[in-house]
Amino acid sequence: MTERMIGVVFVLGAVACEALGQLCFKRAANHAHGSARLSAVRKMLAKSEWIGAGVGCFSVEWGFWTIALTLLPVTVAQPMASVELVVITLMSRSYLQEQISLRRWAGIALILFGVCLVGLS
Amino acid sequence: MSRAPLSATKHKVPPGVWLGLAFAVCIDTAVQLVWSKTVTDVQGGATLSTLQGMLAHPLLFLMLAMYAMQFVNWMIVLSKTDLSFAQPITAGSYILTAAGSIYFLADRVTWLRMAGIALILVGVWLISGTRHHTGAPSMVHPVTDSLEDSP
Repeated sequence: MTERMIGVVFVLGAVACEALGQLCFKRAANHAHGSARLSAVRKMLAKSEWIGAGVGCFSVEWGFWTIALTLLPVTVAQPMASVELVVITLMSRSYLQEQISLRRWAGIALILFGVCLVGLS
Repeated sequence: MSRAPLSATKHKVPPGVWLGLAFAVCIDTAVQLVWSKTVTDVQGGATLSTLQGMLAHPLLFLMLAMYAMQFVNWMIVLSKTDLSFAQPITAGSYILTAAGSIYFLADRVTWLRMAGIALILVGVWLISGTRHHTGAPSMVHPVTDSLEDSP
């Protein structure tokens, strides 16, 4: 396995950790929906297992991303990582019951291409 | 649980949500810049020594402080919006980072970069016109909510 391929694996690992971490944070945040700000933070902290899981995921992501950047140039890694937009949207639809309109999908697609172009420039 | 169709009623994103998203974009940009600087500073050795170097770098504390601010802000934003609404909008940090590198680091302004920034802007605009909250916050997922109910 070449260094480049290992770098790609770490980028994909970082993407998976980001998606899982965001899902965990959203699960915790959902318990505070509609509350005033201070009581919202208390309600979210009451779901500390989700916050703890999210922090764990992001910590692993940090390590994976740091390793990926030592193996791949950022101009390659960053566009590749932008696929997390699609992964997070799909997981939001499946696990958070969010409704994803065509307009939102179109916006996500444009952002994905835009990030790739900026990363490659 | 029945919910209104996506286009049924006019929706307005509260100003506080836009403020939170703008703050998230600024913090994301700052974190990216600091992270890139630390990786550049410590890179050169084996992967493990790079990680160790990152953990010992003085800017790590700044990064942790920024992460803490981002965490509180992001949790408040997520309590009011869909994840699939808020997350793509934070891609605006790519625009800020590109603009910052052009202005402060005299990076070249290329057609490719400008086209990318334009696509991101249009994408963010499209998403901003969708309903910011469509999820069902009180729905219990039979698998992910088993932490409280497991025997």
